Amino acid sequence: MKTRTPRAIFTAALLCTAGAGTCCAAGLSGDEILKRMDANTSYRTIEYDGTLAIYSGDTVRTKEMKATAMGTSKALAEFTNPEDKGTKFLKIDKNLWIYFPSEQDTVKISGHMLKEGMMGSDVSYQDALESDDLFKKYAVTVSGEDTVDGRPCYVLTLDATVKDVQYETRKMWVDEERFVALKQEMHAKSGKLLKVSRVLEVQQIGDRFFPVREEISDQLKQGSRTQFLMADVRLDVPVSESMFSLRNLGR
Amino acid sequence: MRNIWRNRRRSLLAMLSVALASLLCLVLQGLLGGFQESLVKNFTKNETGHIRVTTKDFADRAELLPVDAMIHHPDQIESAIRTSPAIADKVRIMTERISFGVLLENKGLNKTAVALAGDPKTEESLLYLQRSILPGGHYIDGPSQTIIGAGLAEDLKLSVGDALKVVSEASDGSLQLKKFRIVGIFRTGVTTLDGKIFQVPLGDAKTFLRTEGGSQSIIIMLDDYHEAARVAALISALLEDPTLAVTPWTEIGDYARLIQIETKIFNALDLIVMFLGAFIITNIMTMVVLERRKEIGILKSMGFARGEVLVLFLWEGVFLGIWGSLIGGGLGFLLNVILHFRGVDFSSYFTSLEFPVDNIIYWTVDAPVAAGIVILGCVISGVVSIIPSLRAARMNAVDAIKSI
Repeated sequence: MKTRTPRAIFTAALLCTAGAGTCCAAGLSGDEILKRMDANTSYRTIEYDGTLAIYSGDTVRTKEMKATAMGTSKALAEFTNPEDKGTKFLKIDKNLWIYFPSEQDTVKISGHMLKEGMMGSDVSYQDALESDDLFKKYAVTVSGEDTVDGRPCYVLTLDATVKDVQYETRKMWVDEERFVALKQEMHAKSGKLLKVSRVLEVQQIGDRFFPVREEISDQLKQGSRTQFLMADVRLDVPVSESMFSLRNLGR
Repeated sequence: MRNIWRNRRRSLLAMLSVALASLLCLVLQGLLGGFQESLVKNFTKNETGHIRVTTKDFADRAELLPVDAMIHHPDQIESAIRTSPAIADKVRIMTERISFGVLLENKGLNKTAVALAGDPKTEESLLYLQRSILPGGHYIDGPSQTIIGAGLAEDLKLSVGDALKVVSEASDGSLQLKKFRIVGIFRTGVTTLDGKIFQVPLGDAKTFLRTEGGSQSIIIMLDDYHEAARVAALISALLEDPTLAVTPWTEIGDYARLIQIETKIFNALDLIVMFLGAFIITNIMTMVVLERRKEIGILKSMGFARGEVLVLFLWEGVFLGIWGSLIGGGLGFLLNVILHFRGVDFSSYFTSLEFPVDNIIYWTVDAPVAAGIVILGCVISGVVSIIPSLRAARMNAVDAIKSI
């Protein structure tokens, strides 16, 4: 399976795929569906302008950022909206740092704090840190077919094979034609629905189909949802590896 | 009286049983009182005050400690309250306070905590954290200083002089970091304080959270906290602002309800314990009636009415109960006085408790409660004596004499 890279800190988890599928439906196995999804979402590097809209009840907060990612393990997002201007998120492997320009200092996020929502959004730090690790953590089966927004989809069920997972099971609706996960439900061990994500807009970039507007809602937070919009997406552009370093954060 | 001491051992056993029941009830009531007093004291001074003035928006989401629901002109509200003759006399302390959830970080270690921001001078008479500062530290005496709970310091491996990195969402939704210098570490013995709380100056919090002078709440402590609901209504009428919520502590959170439930449960327990303790009187009186059938027969043949026989035996039971209750009540009261001054350290049991209670509980000494338990013991002793006494009263004189 080709290495799939996260497009940015905030969308890494939403774009996850899984491996080790065995069951077949409509001629494609879970593995094959994931490989096709993988082909859509794989790249060496990516740059884009992101907008995060955090809805809580009647209020909405908008945050803007410029994001760059390299491989599975490195991503950098710098916020550009006036309130957070200069705040940076740096992800290297499973580590996450936040740089605050006001104090010119960095804070590392670790432990149970990773389960908290990033910037008050419905996306947890752990969601953001997840990438192709899902392949190692879940077994996938094709449980049927369904339609999402009028588009036929394969329905995949991902069951955790290891204990160290945030969601015990995931259910994924994958567009049969474009191989994009249009909808995903994340469940706890008890079966309780924790989060739901939906792709609201897909864009064709070259020969790939890219989800550029997605929404995730934390089912435990009443009236809360977060939309993520990617604009000016540039794939496989030259990016210096040195930008993904703690030393570079303060510059 | 002569009848009671006919079989001293048996009567003493009955008194002892009632005495132990009374003692247990009174000691349990003292413990409950101490626990509840500790809960109310810590809850009001650390969190709500006796009365809390906030925006209605904050009150609706108070458990989340939102920082985007500020009172914009807290000084005007304070001024109105201070100049109201009907209210000002009842207010002991009034101060602005902001409580907000934060992420703390030190050398890669993270912990969530709650920042309590208030005027350091006023908080000396409210939070009293300056009394619990460990040697080597001191209380806040300048900006950007903080004192933190010993549990927090241990978890994050922080000491006096270190910088505390505090990350929080500001009122405009932005993510902010501020570094405070740790000038003191406190250990109060209240797990929820020591493990989760740190105190910072109000001015720093306002700047950090970008409140533009606004405050989350105005905390009011009264001379008599029983007046909280009435004074809250007066303040609400005075302010006449539909966007504000003036709430007495009894209407915040579940503690007031918890206290009511606890009291009901303990009262029911008292009743059960007293019945169990006094039940021995029923057994003893039944034996007494059987042993004294001939005597009962003679009394009846001499013209004693049913009621007179009933009262005779009932009085014996009540007498045992009175002495048992008085002895038990007296010993219980004495024990409560001792435990009131010495206290009992429950720290090993309270470590993981989320209630704001002190680790050392000091029993309450309440004379009316003690009197109530003694009276309860007497009444229940009378009640449990009714059946054997009725049996004696209903005996036929001839049958009673013949049966021996």
